[in-house]
Formats: sequence, C-alpha cells, structure tokens
Amino acid sequence: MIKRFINLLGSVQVIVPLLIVITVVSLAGVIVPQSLPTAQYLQIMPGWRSSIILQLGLDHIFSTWWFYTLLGILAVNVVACSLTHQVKSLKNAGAMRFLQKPDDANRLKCSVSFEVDGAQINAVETITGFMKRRMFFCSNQTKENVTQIAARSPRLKEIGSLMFHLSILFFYVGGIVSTMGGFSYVKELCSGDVVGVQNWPYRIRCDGFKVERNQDGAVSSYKSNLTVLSADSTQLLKKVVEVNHPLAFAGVNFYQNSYGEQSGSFEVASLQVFGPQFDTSGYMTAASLNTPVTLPGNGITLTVSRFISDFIIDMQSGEATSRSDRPNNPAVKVTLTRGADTLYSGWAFENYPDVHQESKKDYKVVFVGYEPRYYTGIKISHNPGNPFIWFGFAFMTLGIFLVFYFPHRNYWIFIGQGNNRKVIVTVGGASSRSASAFQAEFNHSCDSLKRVLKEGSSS
Amino acid sequence: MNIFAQNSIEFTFFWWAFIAYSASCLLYVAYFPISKKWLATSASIAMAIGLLMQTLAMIERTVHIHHMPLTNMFEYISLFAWFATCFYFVFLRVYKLHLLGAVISFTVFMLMVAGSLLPKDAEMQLVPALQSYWLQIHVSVASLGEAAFLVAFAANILYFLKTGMSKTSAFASRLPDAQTLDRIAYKAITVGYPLFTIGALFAGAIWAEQAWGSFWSWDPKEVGSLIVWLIYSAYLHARFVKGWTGSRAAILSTTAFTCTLLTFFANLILGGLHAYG
Ligand code: HEM
Repeated sequence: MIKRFINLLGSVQVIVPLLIVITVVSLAGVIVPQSLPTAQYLQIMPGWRSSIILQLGLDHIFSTWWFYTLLGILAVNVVACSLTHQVKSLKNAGAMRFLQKPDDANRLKCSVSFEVDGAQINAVETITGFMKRRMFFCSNQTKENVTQIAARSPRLKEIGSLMFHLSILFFYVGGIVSTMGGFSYVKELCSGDVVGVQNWPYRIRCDGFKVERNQDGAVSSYKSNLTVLSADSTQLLKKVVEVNHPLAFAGVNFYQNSYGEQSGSFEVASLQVFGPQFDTSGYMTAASLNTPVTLPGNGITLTVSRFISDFIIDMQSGEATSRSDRPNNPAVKVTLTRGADTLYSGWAFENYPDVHQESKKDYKVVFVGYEPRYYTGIKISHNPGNPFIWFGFAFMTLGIFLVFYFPHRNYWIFIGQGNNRKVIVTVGGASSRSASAFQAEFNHSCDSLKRVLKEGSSS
Repeated sequence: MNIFAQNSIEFTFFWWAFIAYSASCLLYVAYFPISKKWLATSASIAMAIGLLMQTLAMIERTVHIHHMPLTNMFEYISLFAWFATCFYFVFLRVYKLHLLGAVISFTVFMLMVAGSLLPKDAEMQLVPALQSYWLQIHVSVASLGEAAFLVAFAANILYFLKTGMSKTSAFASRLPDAQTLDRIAYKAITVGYPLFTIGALFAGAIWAEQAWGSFWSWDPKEVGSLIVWLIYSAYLHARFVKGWTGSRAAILSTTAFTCTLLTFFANLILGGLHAYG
C-alpha cells in the first residue's frame, strides 16, 4: 500500500491530475476575495457559503496547510520524476544504438540513399569528420563489408529537461528560506531620522524626501535620500531610492513604498497679513515653523509656532489637538509681535479663512496654503532566499530553451563499396521532433554531406 | 457616431486597421463555406493592410507620448492583436493553411472590437511603478507568448471541427488530418510557453521585486498567469501520458487559452496590484 503510494508519487501519470488540482485550487483563490476581515465574508456571502469559506480557509488559500501540502506533493513528484524518468531518458539518449541493416535506415521517415565516387574507407573517415564537426558523437561498426556510423547529437534536450524540472525546486527553497529567515515591513521616516534594522550591524538615515510633479501637477516620481551608517556613524553609502530603484546593502533592501504628509509639520506656509500699515489686500508672506519673519514697516515679526493637520479643540482639556494624521483641517498658530508687544496671536485655518481667533482687532492673518512636509514609507526587507530565486530564473530559462529548441537527433549512415569505385551511402535520421519538422534539417545535412564527399573524392 | 471624430492621426490609423481587420474577417467568413482561393488571398491582403495601419498607429502613439505604449488595457490589447497578426503571417507561411488564418483573423478582430470599446487616452504621466524597463519586457514578451497561444487555440478549434464532423463532409475534407492540427497547436505552444514563462512569470516577478519588494504576492493577476502556466504545463505532459493525448489535450489547451484571456482582461474585472489599466 505504502509502496504503491510512493510509486504513484513518482509516476508520470500523477502529474497531469496534480497540476489540474493545483490549478482549480488557485482558481478558487482568484474567485474568492482573499484576506478580507471575517465580517465582510459573512456580509457578502451569508449562510453556509461563508462558513464553508472560513472553515476551509478559502479566505487565505495560499497560506493554508493543505495548499502547502499540495505544493509539497508536487515537489516530491518533480524530484522523483527527475531521478527516475528524466535520468533514464538522459541515459537512453546517450546510448549509441545501431540499426541492423541499411533497409532499416531506408524505412525511417527521413532517409536518403546516394552514390559517390571514392573508396569506402575514405568515405567513412570523411563522414565521421563531418558529423563530429557538427558536434555529433559518432561510433561505427562494420558488418558484411558495410560500415555503419551511428551519430547522436549532444543531449541538450535531456539535460535541459532535467535542469528545468530541478529548477522548480529552487523556487521552493528560495521561498522557504525567505519565509523562515527573512523579514519585511514598512517604516515611516522623516528627514533626519536614523533607524536600525534587527541583527544588521548598520543603520539607515533619511536625508530628505521629495515628491516631483510634472507641469500638470501629476506625481512623476518620489524619492528618498538614504544613507547607510556604520555602527560608529561613518557614512558608508548614499543613494536616492525611488520606486523601481531600491537600495541594497549587506543583505537588506530598502524600497520606496509610499509617502504621506507629516501631521505636525510643513515646509512653508503662505500667509496673508492684514493690518493698519498694509493696504486692503493685505501682505503676502511665507513662513516656516518656528522661524520668525520680519514684515516691512515698523518692525513687526511674524512667527508660526504650531501646525495641526486636523484641528480640533479637545472638549475636556480645551487644548488644540489633531483628530487624525490626515490634512482634513490644517491650522497654524500665528503670532505677530513688535518688540515685547504681542499684536496678534491666534489660529488660522486653511479651510475656513473667515474664522479667526484674534486677540487684537487691528490685525488679521489668513492661512492661504502650505507646502506639506512628507514622511517617506520605506519597505525594509531581508530575503535570504532571493539568490535561489534568481538562480531558479536563470536555470529554468536555460532549461526551457534547451528542451524546446534543441531536439535530440540521431543519424545512421551506412557506407558500402559499390561497383566502379563508387561508394553507396544510405542515411536515416530520427529526432525527438516530429519527422516533418526534422525533414528540412535532415535534407540540409544530407546535401552538405554529399557535397563534402564529392569534394573529398575529387581532391 | 462618426468614428473619425478623434482628431489625432493615431486614431485614424487605428480605425483603418480596425476596418482592414474587419474586412479580412468578413472575407474569411465567406471563405469557410466557399472554397475560393481569391477570398483567402484578399483576406490576407486585408490582414497585411491592417498590420501596417496598426504599426503606424503604434509608432505615432509612441512618438506622441514619449514612452512605449505598454501601460493600459487599450495598449495591451493593441499589442496582443499586433503580435497575433504577425504570427498569422508566420504560420500561414509555414503551414499554408488559410482556415487556420481564418480563425486567427476572427480572434484578432474580436480583440480589436474589445480594444475599440476601451478608453484610448494615453497616460502622459506614468505612475512611478510603471516607469521600468522590466515592465516593458514583461508586457511585450508576455503578450508575444499569448499571441502564440492564440494560434494554438485557432488550431484547436479546427481540431474540434475536424474530429466533430463526419469525415465525408465537404468542410472537414478541406482540413488537414487531426494529427496535423494537433501538431500545429503543439508547435505554437512550444513557441508560446517559453515566452510566457519568461515574460509573464519571470519578468513580472522581477519587476514586482524592484517595485514592491517581493517577487510574488498572490495577487489575482499573478495567480491567473500561474494558472495559465500550470494548464499549459499539464498540456505538455498530457502529450506523453497515456489517456491524455488527442481530444483531452486539446481541451486542456483550449481551457488554458480561455484562462489566458480571462487573466489578460482581469485588470478590468479584479483589481489588485495590476489595477492600473
Ligand atoms: C510544475 C511542474 C512541472 C512543469 C512546469 C513541467 C514542465 C515540463 C516541460 C515544459 C516539459 C517539456 C515538454 C516537451 O518537451 O514537450 C516537460 C517534460 C517532462 N516532464 Fe515535466 N514538468 C513539471 C513536473 C513534472 C513532474 C512532476 C514529472 C514527473 C512525474 C514530470 C515529468 C516529465 C517528463 C518525463 C518529461 C519528458 C522529458 C523529455 O521529453 O525528455 N514533469 N515537463
């Protein structure tokens, strides 16, 4: 029973049904939306359907034990097959087989017979040389005065097939190694932040982040300046990281993942100040956080001392705080001073230019807009399995080309001595491709062979 | 509706290609019951005109938007149809089988109809994730592979017609034997399978790794490509496993092509990381 099961696992018969089962399961993983909250399944598919989905793990098919089991069976099947069928066909293809008699060659779908001038012994030599130059392996035998050269192509197809099937395992190994020994998470960094990565002897510093836009205002790229620091804070590497251009250093990769507005800060704010010394349209100025700006005339200084992205007054404490990280209600606290006098101090709101909390009626400040200061979302990941995956790509690509484009070919060439110093040559050919696909190549080879023999006999 | 309403030269070329492909398709529809050589020849000429017009449309678009037109559904379909038409000529030359060409022509026409219904505006500004030469390799090699699958699908349709009809029917006698049709399908798949493996799966995974930091995330369109690949792998094995040759293999490969189309259009249906189309 167990033996039968093991045999079955290694048999070619299993592969088609097995691939179909994995296909059907994967299909279920496309049809059933994956990784939604449980409540959502109950909502979209009430009753027994959602309970089946949740019981079987259809909501996270690609990480269920039974999906891994299927993949495991496939891996065992591939290994078993490679060690049996594939190795066997590699051996078979390497064996030199002879035909019985020239008629056997004639009976092949690709065959040709012709006569040339010359001696048999010279012809054998010329043909062997010809086939060897074409990278064929040759061996010959002589029966009843007729010499047969058996020639076979290098076993590229068979080696390719073995490479292809075994390369599947590299993807498994890569995936397992990365899952067991790797990590991946997104870290939000502001300019100046320095972070460490677990078990990594270096730290990373964010030196700035920039969102670039084209003339229409559409985002064309976003970039973070990252610096790798050693334990004693020497700079080891600087790189501008953007989408599609990650930074890789000592086994850890940093990808530009996302960005967003920082909630407590901004780059510059545009403010419009109204007061007795300005005309009715006010005075436009730009200010950064906590950086005093001197306004023209009688030494007034403007300072933005706070920024809140989603302004609300906390009911209990009466303090201004932010309801969320989103810029739903941006507000700045602005103070106008002259010498020791405070002329104005209050909040100005971008979305509500007419709302003012002024302390003195003479002055008014309108918060026109601001350029946000962004944080950058950097995905930090360590995937020790990646070299296996890369190797798998290379191996499988090579294997696939060998399998499909380097068919195995055999030639059997009978050389007998005819009358009048003529040599009778009979060539039969077979290939792992269909006879009709092989025919053109066969004809071409035989033509060249004829030409070479004629040249040989005339010189 | 005036189909020439769009003012760009590109759309004029596109609609001329559309008309040429439609003409080819109609001529072939006539060629199915009426075995006249001139019908098939005219259909081929129409295909050639369609290919030329579509090439001009694609060049015009590339010049206009300053990047390869490989970033939305309309552009993918256009490229898919273009490759399929190229394969049409290759296979017509090798196998001299106009009935195969007829099925390909019909499929190309359907693709053009689908393309013509989609929004055709070009993305002047690509989102950063799409600014990658791996993406260009991914999209172009994958659709080249899919176009080869389309040829296999056409051969399979003929295979079903051949095996489903009585041997004496006039139409069946114009088709080569079932084995030859099976071989054409296999040939096309041996062209498509490596391209699809490298283009759709490998280049796609490499691009995902660079853009999102992981080769594979079981995103619906990724799983779709995996499914296509698994079924074609099953098909390739079916050919040397007892009981799976002939019709069953043809069913496998037709199913695989159906999945190819579903995956291709999945952007419109499913969403996920590939939801930019
Ligand atoms: C995901 C899994 C697999 C894939 C993608 C795959 C793919 C392939 C491909 C592309 C070929 C070449 C077909 C051709 O020449 O027309 C092939 C051949 C073959 N496969 Fe697989 N295979 C897989 C698993 C297996 C397994 C599990 C077995 C064994 C049970 C197996 C046994 C064979 C054999 C015996 C051949 C013929 C080799 C030859 O012609 O020299 N394969 N496979």
